[in-house]
Amino acid sequence: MRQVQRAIDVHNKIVKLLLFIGLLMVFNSASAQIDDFEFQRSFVKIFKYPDSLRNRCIPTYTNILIEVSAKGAVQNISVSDSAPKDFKNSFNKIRKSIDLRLLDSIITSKKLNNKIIIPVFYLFTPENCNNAVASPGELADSYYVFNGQKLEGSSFCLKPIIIVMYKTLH
Amino acid sequence: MNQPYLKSLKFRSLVCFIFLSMVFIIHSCKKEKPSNKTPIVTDSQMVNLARQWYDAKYPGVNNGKLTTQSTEKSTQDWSKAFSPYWAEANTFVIDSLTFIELPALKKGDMAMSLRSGIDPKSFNFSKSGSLTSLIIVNKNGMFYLYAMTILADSTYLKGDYTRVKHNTYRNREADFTGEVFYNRMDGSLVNGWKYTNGLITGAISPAAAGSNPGQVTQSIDKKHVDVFQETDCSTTTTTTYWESCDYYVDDEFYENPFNCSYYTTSSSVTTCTTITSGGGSSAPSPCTMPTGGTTNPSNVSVENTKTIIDVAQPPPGGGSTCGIIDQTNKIGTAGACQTITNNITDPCLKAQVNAAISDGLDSYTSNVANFVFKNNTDFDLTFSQSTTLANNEDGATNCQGDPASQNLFEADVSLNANTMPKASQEFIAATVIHEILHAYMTFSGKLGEFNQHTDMANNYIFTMQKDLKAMFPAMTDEDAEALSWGGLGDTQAWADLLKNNPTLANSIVNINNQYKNATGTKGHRCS
Repeated sequence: MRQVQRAIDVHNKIVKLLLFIGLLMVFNSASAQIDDFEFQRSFVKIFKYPDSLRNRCIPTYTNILIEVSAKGAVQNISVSDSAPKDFKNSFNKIRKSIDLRLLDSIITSKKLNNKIIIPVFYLFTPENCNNAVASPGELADSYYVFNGQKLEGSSFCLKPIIIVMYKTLH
Repeated sequence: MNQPYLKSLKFRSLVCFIFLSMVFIIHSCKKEKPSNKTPIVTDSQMVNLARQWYDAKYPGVNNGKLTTQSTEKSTQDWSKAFSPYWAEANTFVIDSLTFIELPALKKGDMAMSLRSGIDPKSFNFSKSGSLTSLIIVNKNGMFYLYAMTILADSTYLKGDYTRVKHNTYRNREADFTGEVFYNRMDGSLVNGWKYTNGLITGAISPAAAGSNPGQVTQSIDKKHVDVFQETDCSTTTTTTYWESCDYYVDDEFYENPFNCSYYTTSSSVTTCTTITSGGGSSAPSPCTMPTGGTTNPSNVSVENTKTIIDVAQPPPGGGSTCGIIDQTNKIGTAGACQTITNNITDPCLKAQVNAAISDGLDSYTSNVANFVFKNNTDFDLTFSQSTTLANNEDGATNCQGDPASQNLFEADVSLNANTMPKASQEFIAATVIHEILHAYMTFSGKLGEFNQHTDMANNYIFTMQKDLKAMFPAMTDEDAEALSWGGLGDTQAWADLLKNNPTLANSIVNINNQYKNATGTKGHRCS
């Protein structure tokens, strides 16, 4: 009987422990709500789509690559080679102003230590331009290439930036 | 010795452990998937968490062990009078805070009223026009509970007392007139808003100690973006009528009251309204709380504390909403980041932009600018001047973003730096109003210049005329209407006017030229 009682005690302890872990998970998840668009929102606010592209109806299909060290620190940020030259120039002008700290919560919570990818689309509304891609083959070849280096290994994808551009109004 | 019971226990423990481990693994994997809204906690999970918190924070509100549950006749513990109706919880996110709006189950009844002196026993709760709901806010894992009481005016209800239910935390009806109060569970007022026809016309705050009902104070001649403002604050008494009843413990929804008693509580509140020299009485900055009280009029300010508002229904398509501003718990106070930027360097152009979007101006375009853009960090409006616009282009508006799916929108309004500084202030203002309407129409999903101009010509001439008169009260109706037609020459409405009333059409063109040209005789020029 003593063995039975001990077994019941062990059983109860296990159940309590598991319940505690379950509750901990739920509470932890509540307190760890993360805005997974905060960084993108911040980027859009400081990045101005070049007039040279806008005026010529040139859309942009690209990716932002954020390289994260093994310790979780952001080491580099770049756009893929599919971005038009003027887009890259504009990006590089604001590169130092991009608030990388906004990625900290994502990096910490997801324990990221490799790469983050954010797809970026700057598109025109239909009444404005037709979003034609001059060379789909070139886009396919360069979409995941960063400064000539093909993206390799695992990476974490964040919510894309999709900006539609309306026709100028007078 | 054979111990089947022990075996069974071990087996059940093992199964339980494996099951929970699987749940844990599945849960962990699920977290890796990005989602559109709240990636980690679903709405139902959030409601469950809120319920756990509520049960722990307010024990015994719902689960007494007595044969009857009795409501304490406390004047200051609202948690004893209300409990959340969890089955109808509505969860939404505003500015990264999760809100849960719940109907309040009342132990008896409760209604706020601006009328005092009524015998609470004879007070007709069903015709009070008062509706109280509960709002739970989750901030960084912490929960905060508030009561929201919507007190509708009889001019809005028009005898239909169910209309008050059409209003929620996020949405007020376009013609809602009345007050919205936010109280803590100890009965203290957090803040509130006064509405007239769906627009906020006053900010309500607890009256400062020592202020008397009926007391009116003013903060006069406060210069604000080149317009003189006057903030009027008045203190009134709000009476809360209570019906307190007992219920059987199994009466979950408080349907069979007995042993009821009636009483009232009252509180003094201060309502502040800003009057601008350019127009009539209007709201203070939307969602802006006065920081002073009636005891120190000089401190009454409409500039210091701002919040972000939900613009699910910007005016006038629907009522605007302003919510809880709790300085103690820092809820609703994060909106200091204003997102209207005036980058114009020409002083004359800059001043007209500032005047057109002035907080307190009684104008549609000013309201649009402030409600949609200024008080929401995700929707930006920027003004700049351009030297590349053609001479016949007074202004241009470039918009980008996707307010519907990505909650992002930017509108850049450019004014022609070559031609506009020579125009009159009135003409510049008319151009600014025209461009703000373009920005707002694009934001609202009405796309294309022709469509927008058609809408302006058919539906907004009177609005633009009124807005111009709000900025320039001495301007004649005829001139204000003529300037409102500026830029709408591509519309059918203009073609019809030319055909049907060429005299009027020519007059409109002449008036515009008189206001626009450097040598024109109408209007005020900066130099």
